[in-house]
Amino acid sequence: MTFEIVSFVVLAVATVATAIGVIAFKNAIHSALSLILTLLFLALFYLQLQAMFIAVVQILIYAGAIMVLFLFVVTMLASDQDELALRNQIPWQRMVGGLLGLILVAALSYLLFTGAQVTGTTASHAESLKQAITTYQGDTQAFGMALFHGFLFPFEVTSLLIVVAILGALVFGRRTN
Amino acid sequence: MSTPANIGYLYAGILVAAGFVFVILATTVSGLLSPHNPTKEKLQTYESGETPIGSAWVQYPLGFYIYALLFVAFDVDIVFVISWAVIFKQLSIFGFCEIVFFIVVLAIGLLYAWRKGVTRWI
Amino acid sequence: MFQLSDLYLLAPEISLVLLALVVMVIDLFTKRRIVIATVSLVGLIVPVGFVIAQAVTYTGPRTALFRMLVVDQYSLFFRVIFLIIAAFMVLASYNYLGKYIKAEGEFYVLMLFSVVGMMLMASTGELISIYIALELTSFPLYAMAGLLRSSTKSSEAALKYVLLGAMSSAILLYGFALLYGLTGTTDLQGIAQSFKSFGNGNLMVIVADVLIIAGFGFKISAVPFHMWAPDIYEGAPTPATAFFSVGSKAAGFAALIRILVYGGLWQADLTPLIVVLGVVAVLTLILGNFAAAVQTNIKRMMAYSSIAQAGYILVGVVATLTMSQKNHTAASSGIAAVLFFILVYVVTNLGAFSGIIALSNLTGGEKIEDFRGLWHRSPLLTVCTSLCLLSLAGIPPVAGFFSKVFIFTAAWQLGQPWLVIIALLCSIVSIVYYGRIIKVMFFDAPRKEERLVAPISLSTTITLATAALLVLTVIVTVVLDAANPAALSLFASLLGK
Repeated sequence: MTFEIVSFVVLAVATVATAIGVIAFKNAIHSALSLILTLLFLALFYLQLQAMFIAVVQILIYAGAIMVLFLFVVTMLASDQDELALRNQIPWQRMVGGLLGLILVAALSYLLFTGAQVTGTTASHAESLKQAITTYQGDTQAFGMALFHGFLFPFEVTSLLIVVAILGALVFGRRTN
Repeated sequence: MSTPANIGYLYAGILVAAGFVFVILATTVSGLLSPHNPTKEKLQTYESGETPIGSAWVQYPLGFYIYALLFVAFDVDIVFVISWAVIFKQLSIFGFCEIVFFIVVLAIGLLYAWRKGVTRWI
Repeated sequence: MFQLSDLYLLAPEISLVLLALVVMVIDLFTKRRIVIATVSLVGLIVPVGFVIAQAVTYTGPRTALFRMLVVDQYSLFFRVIFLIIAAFMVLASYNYLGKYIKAEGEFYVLMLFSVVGMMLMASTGELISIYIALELTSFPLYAMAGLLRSSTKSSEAALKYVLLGAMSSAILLYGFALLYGLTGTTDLQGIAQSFKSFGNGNLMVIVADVLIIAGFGFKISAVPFHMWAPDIYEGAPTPATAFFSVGSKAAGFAALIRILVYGGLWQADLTPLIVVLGVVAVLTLILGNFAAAVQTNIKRMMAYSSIAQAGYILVGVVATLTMSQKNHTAASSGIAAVLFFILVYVVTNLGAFSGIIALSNLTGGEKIEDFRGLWHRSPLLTVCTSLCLLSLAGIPPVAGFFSKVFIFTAAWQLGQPWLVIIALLCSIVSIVYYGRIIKVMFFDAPRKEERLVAPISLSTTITLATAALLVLTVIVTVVLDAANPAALSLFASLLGK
């Protein structure tokens, strides 16, 4: 138990620190690298919750693919960074952002401390998920069984979705001449 | 956390920590030990003997971005293939057909991108 | 759970996917537009054949692929609508593509994939499948909006569309997640079953429904989620605009009605939800019609007009929801009117847009004043376009008149007289702006005298659309005979148990 608590605290501090880094760094690349670290630490949280598959997906997709896109965008726009910093001055932006953040924190803590008890149907669903994971000896296996059995239809449609995304990238990447 | 199923995470955690420690140690120790007397030429970016001109922050051609998008598309693909591979035996021939359809469709997409000349940009 | 006969139920979509893939491969090996267009058009015969076969041999609602796919009369009705859209689009876009867009293959492939998504949206009975189908519909639309690479307006349209589309998808997913959290299943029938036990006024149900309506509100461009429509309609290539205005809207309504009715949400007491939807409908009607009246660009005008048309459909949906708990048969008459309205709207709007594509292609302008005196320069196009516009305005005896009458009488009988009165007043406003174009085309002096000769594919399209409109006018009862059981089939699964 104590090991879990210690590792949770270490991870939590590290995650929040890197998350602050994302908005605090002046250089966009540094922000992006900081975001990668944040996402990696989140993956470790998932591992701590024994959700191996989600942790792997988090690293593969978010820390890998999505961050590659971020970095590419940064390198594509980087030439006019100073200009960007000057232009980005909507006066009420910070106030509204802060207010919305406060509302989110308030709502989440309200739920956390009062309402969020796992009861009734929700509890039985969580139980059945646990059952599936033990039956198939692992969460990746359970996910695979769900994906390739019950949800095979949306899975196959996803392949079309990816092809359309490739087509879209081609259309926008085409030279104008 | 001491159950045998999770002991692997501990080893992985130790490895990660060791990696961090190694990098931090190596950079700080070499920074402390090395002599430090910079000149203008030494601080210049090394460009194979050429004098660098302008900033390195230039706008990259859009062609690179398509590569990134293709990478993302196939990275997402990996997640599905992993979850298929771990239960390959249980799914048998039916699951095999599913993944073959999935990959063939993606292959056509890749073929299309390739033939449309994404890989050439000059 | 999986049988080979499931594939037969999915055959229209599968064959359409194969067609899209074939067109992709052909596009790699030939540069000729005519080949690609012909293959697309001829290939559409296969899915049409499958849909007809399924309709003829129809015995009752069937589910397939672990209950993800639902083939009932409702989905067959929408499949027909979407295949009509696909066929019209191939014809109508042919000349425009050659003139302005140097990516014919991409356009056709994207369009076909989008139609697959639309067909799936109408025929899936499960939240995740609906979401994936929705994205399969939307992704190609984003790309199509930006196909005019030399135009900054087109790029702006694509960017706005992607961002707002992604946001609306997120809102929709939030609603789906809440539904899943409440009921523990993503299967709409399962949701319908568990809704039977929900007490009245469950706050989370309302929140989930409002989020879902907001998400689909973007797709059907209902006020206050409409603000993307005018900019994107104006910036995107005109054939793509035509496609957005009919396809995205029809598919959005198909899925929304499927979730609200087939998903059994009406079983809980939804008074607040009906109030919300009613307000949305009224706002959509008023803003769409009044904003359309002051536009000078014809594409912007058509954008607001399509917003207004969504308002009429919403009136029918609201009326159905209010009545569903008390009387299914009566309530289904509202859905039947909506189905008929959507069919007529699709045909009419495609016709009007092909007319606009043709005329603005020929005159080189998109302002309403560019259309002056076209009656003297291109009589056939002008007459056909005017007929379509008259139908949109709901002037008798064209089909648009009947579709409006059906929706209004259904809503009146289902106890929504106020909505009907507002809708009626708004459609009087609509006569003003549709009539203005017709007046400009017929009675104003032309700018130039020389005759305009429309390319063969465009004049074929618009003649076909007008002919279809006239045929619809004649066979109103036949279509209603198809729409009524289609509407009832949404209730069938719940009533059967």
